[in-house]
Amino acid sequence: MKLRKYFAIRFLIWALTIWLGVSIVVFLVRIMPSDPIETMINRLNNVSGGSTMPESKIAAQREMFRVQFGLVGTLWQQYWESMRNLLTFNFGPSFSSYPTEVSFLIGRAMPYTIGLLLGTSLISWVLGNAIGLFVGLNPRKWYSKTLETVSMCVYPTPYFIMALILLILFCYLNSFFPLTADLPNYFSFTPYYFKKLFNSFFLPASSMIVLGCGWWIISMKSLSNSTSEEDFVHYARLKGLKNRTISYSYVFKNCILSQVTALALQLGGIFCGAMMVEVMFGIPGIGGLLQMAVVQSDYNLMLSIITISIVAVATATLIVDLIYPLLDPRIRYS
Amino acid sequence: MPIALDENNTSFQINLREGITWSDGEKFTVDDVIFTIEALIAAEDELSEGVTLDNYVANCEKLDDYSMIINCDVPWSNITESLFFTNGFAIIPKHIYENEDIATFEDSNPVNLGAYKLVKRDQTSGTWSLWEKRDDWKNSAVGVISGEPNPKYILFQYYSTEETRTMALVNNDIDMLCNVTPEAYKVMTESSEYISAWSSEFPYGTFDDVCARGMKVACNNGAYSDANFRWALALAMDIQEVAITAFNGQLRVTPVALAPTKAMMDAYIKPMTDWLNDFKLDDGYAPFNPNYATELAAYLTSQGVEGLPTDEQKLIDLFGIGWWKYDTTEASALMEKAGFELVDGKWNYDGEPFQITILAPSGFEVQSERMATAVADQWRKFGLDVEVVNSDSSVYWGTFTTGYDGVYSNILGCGYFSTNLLSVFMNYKTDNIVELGTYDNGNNYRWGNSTVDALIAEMGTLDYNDTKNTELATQILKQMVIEMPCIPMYSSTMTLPTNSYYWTNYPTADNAYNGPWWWHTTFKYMLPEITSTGK
Repeated sequence: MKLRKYFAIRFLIWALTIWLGVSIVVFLVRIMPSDPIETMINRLNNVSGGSTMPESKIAAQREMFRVQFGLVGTLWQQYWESMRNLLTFNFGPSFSSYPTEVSFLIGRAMPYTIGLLLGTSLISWVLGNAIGLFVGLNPRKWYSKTLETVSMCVYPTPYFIMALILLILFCYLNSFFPLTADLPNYFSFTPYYFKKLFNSFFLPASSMIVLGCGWWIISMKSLSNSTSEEDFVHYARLKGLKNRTISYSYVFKNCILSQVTALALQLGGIFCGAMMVEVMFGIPGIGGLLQMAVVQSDYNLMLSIITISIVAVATATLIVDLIYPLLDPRIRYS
Repeated sequence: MPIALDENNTSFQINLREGITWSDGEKFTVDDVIFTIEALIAAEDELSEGVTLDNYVANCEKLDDYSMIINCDVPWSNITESLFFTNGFAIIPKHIYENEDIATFEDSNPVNLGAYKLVKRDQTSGTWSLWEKRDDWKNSAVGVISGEPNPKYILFQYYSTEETRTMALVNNDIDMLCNVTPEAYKVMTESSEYISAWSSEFPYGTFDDVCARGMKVACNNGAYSDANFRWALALAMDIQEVAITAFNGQLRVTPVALAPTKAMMDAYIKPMTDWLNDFKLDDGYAPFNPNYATELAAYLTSQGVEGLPTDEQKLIDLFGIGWWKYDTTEASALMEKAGFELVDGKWNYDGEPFQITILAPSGFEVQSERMATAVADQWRKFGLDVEVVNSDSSVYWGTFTTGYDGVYSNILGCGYFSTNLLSVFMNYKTDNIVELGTYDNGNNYRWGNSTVDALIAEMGTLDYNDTKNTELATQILKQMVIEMPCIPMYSSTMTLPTNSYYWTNYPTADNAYNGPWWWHTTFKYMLPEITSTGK
């Protein structure tokens, strides 16, 4: 009974979060300082080489966009219509790549982003936490101090600088990798495809792992350090338990809880893409798509990416909530 | 070129070159041209390119496969520019499009009339396209006019940042690059002996680009509607200091609202010198300073810049005929005339402190971006409260036709291709003046007067090549000096680096067989000229 209630509440919160987030998105178009429809009309008329359009034609265009943006009918009708479209992922056409469907563009970009960000997030999480735990448990050793200092220096490095250093070292001074991603058009299970994939993703992935690790090392180190000073750990030590048992069962298990939460939230965020990485290395993912949407005022595309990321973050939080009791015996669906 | 068949410019004959085929081998004939015009007009509700055509074209008649007649409802003396100099009218192949809806058809395997055909492209994000020379290149316009293009393949590749572009060029990964900043160009030439641009000496780039730059306002917007205020803004800036701060002095000035290309300098700007020297504001003040070029050259020489011409005429050719004086006393007098009041060193309007916001691009259109910052500094020194707003391209270009409540640092107009300026001026009609926030019908400055209306109307009736066009356009330019609807400042500086590791004989100042801006049609005519180094 308790279990059912626990699940029901979590799902309710999940649905509420999505509803609130998407409602904000729906109203965003209406409160934007610049009128997206006028912007679209300008864009179209600039493209046509400064031809003068009669007012009747402009009015017709305006009407067409009002329908496209779901701005016809009463406010309530507009609201439900937009909600329905966004929640069923029926995003309509992209304005910058008209008449291609937004869902097609996102579907094409998503595998690259998910591959890059999921991979690097997991690798840097495992690597960073392992190193962080190790450093935290052996705080006085020289190698721990070195590792800690290095990660303290690397972590605050702006991403742009890190990317530029890697590009200069491995693309400019030594031509190990291409300066901009060079990916085949279609997936194929061939060595050629995987070689291209590796060449295009090695540097962006490395830069993200190096920077990502920095934070996990620092946070895990302080957590494990302070946990190992807790009374229950002292008690275990006095009881004469093995160091390995103390490290794993007493320190690690307690520290990893907050790291799992942080990871889940980070994973939810990958649907927004990593704009800087994708732009710097020319990866055709969601971040680059979002940048293009902003630059070309493609509101449909922008709103769709935001909607997807709202759903993703809410879902990630839900999953954490659901699996948390398995990790933490103190919480038993109460 | 369309040939006018009647005095009213309502009927034109178009003759096509024979022997040209599409890249799939189909003959290119007037059927394609007529099909394009008719299809665009039919789809004008969805494709705005059709609107211009519908405004003019009554019908098309085919004479034979290679000649046709366009009949118009109204005179269309600038038909050549309207159709072919802007990008609005691209002829589509009838044999492919005739059974498709042209508004939604995705032409994923396009054919074209050029000497190259598209063989591969990046279908994930459109960052590159690969073109291969056609076996039948002789049947393309380039093949007929200039002969065989040399490269077998051409790759267009996008690099996201100026840093990666610079590295790729220095590494000989690319042969020709788009416009770069003076700083990036310095790094490139210091890193590689193969890199050069239009000229080997200062200013390296070329100023003969068809876009002009300056400060734009809406002339029906509050304080900006007073010409005295607009003139005060012009006289309150030291143009030499702006040029040096913004672009190391690598700019050519223009006091009139035209891109100061060589053609425009010869046809309009230089012949206006005497008039500009004699020109006086209402209070008798003569604002023109004809010594800009020599003054800038003296300053640059004192800073160690070498290789500048010493001849005054050559300096004028390089840096422009002159600009407005930097005179804050006169500017203050004009401010007071416009209703401003100086209170504790700050200008008030209507009893309130007056703030100017300058809208500038952020991270693109670098020249306009830097110009905005430099101009803001000048105006602040003069006692104006100025804020520069840098925005991304959607807001920036979105404002282009809806106007901005403040000053807009921007291209003042592009398309000074021909000395017939009707296409440039035809929208500056009083009828087209609309409120801020609505689409401007091409009258960006929201300005006009009855004199200009009459001049535009008269130009519309003249033959395209009638020399009287120049005279009438000069009258319009004079009106624009008197009322200063925009503050014209510079040409666009185009520093386009080329890498001569694999290919040489790019167009340069000493070998000016073509212009260097390869994103225009000039590119295809460079291809038969550039030669391989054998590497």
